[in-house]
Amino acid sequence: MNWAIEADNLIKQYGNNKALDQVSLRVQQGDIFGFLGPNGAGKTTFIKILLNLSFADSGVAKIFNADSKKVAARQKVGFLPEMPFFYESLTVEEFLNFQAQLIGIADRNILQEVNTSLQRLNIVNERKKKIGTLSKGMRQKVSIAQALLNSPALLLLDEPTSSLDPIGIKEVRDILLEMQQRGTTIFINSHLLSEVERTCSRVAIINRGRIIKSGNKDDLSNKIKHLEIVGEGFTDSLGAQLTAAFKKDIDLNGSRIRISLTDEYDALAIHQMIVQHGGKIVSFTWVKESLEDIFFRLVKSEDT
Amino acid sequence: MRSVWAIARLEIKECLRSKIIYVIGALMLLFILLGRGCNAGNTTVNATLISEEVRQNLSLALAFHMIAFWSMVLCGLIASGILPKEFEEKKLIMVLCRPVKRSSFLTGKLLAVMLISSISFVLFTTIFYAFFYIKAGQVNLNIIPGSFLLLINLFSIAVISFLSSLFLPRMLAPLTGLLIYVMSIGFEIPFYFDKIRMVWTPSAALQTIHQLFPRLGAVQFLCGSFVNSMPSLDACLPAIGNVILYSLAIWLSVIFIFENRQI
Repeated sequence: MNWAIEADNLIKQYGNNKALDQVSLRVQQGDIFGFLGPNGAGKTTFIKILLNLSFADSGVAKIFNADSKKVAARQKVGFLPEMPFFYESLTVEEFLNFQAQLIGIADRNILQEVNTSLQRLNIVNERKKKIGTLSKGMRQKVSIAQALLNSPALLLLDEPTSSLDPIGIKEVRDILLEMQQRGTTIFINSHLLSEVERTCSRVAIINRGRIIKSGNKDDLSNKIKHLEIVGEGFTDSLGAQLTAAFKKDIDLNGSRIRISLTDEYDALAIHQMIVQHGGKIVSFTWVKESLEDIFFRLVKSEDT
Repeated sequence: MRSVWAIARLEIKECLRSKIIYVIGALMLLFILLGRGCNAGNTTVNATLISEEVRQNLSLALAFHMIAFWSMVLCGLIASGILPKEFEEKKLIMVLCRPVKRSSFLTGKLLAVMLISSISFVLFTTIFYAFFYIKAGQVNLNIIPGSFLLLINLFSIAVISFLSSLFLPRMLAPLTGLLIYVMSIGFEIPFYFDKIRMVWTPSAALQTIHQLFPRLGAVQFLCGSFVNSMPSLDACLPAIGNVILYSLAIWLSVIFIFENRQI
């Protein structure tokens, strides 16, 4: 198997706090991989170790089979930090030129690379502006533009859509999908679950430095189906009866009932019970567990 | 090498936007005006005739040392501010996430410091000589090789400031390099001037300490002595060797510490 990222038993401790606790992870080449976790879970530490900005206490991290401590490992990597750190007095073009030189793009190709990157992000008109004068969203676009320079084989993105407006988010999503089609591996650190759900094929969830689940999004689901019923006349006594009958916690919220079932045949009995109580049903839908549901379920169970 | 040069160019741009450079530059201009104050002709002090040549050489040496001192100040201030700023503003993340060695990053920064401080030193010295020439009608060009030799001291101050800036608060870091520089000058005075040596013989222990302490002062005195005559190689080598060895050892320490520092 060709792995873009391989991490084996990474441990990183800050004082008494374990930022990474035996983290092992593999990201296949060409995947869009979502790395999810609450704040302080260890997501950024993991990326920093991959980029050799921080050092693991033990364990090994590799990028395209090269030890992440070696300079060569970063040759094909584009990185978007959570907070872009710029030389504020540079213009957008100067900054991208500088980044292109660091990557090692030949002088004769720099202009073309910079232009391509500016066009992709739709910021050609900003090229002569000083970075210090740009809005937050525009700075984020510049940061993405530098990450895309030289069409990297691996993109490490730390909260890529934070500070972007809905149009910007859509543009970035389209760029990422286009990059994936070209074979780029994309690793997204995020807590914007809906965004990850839309773009990522595989995910890992990290909490308190430990990976609590990883795999395809479908694999992470606990196979429990959620029945969502919308209608009228859903009283508290109905809720109490449903809870007693099915031994399940139900979520009754005005005109909406949500209940998790393992047996699909229970749905018929629920339907009958509601009708017998004089309730009216407008819709009766099976809802798949969303990534958000999975995330909260796993993190909550880990915390408790 | 391209990345080193790119980092150096960027740092030069950043430094030139710093106000402190212009403040130091303005102060250096005052010393340049010393050139206008040098008199031509002989004079008598305490019934001793001081020839025109001696007076001119004295003016040259005095101005040279003052310009050198302010160049060291400038060099120390720039060098000690670079790394703390990079860490505080985390800008170095955008460089080190690229295929750039940490040692290349440091070398680029050092190159920028050396270029700015050397250029300012050479520029101000040249302007001073131009003023001097206009006033005195001649100038002793022996000082040119002396000026080049002083770059060793600039390198030394730069690396000491880099090292101290990795440990000390931003305000204290430049003082370390300058303190060592001033101490080494003070330390060198009794060993350098014949008239002092005639009346005072330092103990063996003091002589050993003198040899082991960074001899930036000795190098500066040697550079200044080029005004009168070219010093012999034997006189230059121990001091120059001492400063070069110290500088290289400190530079390697800076690289080692920086390579092991987490960002």
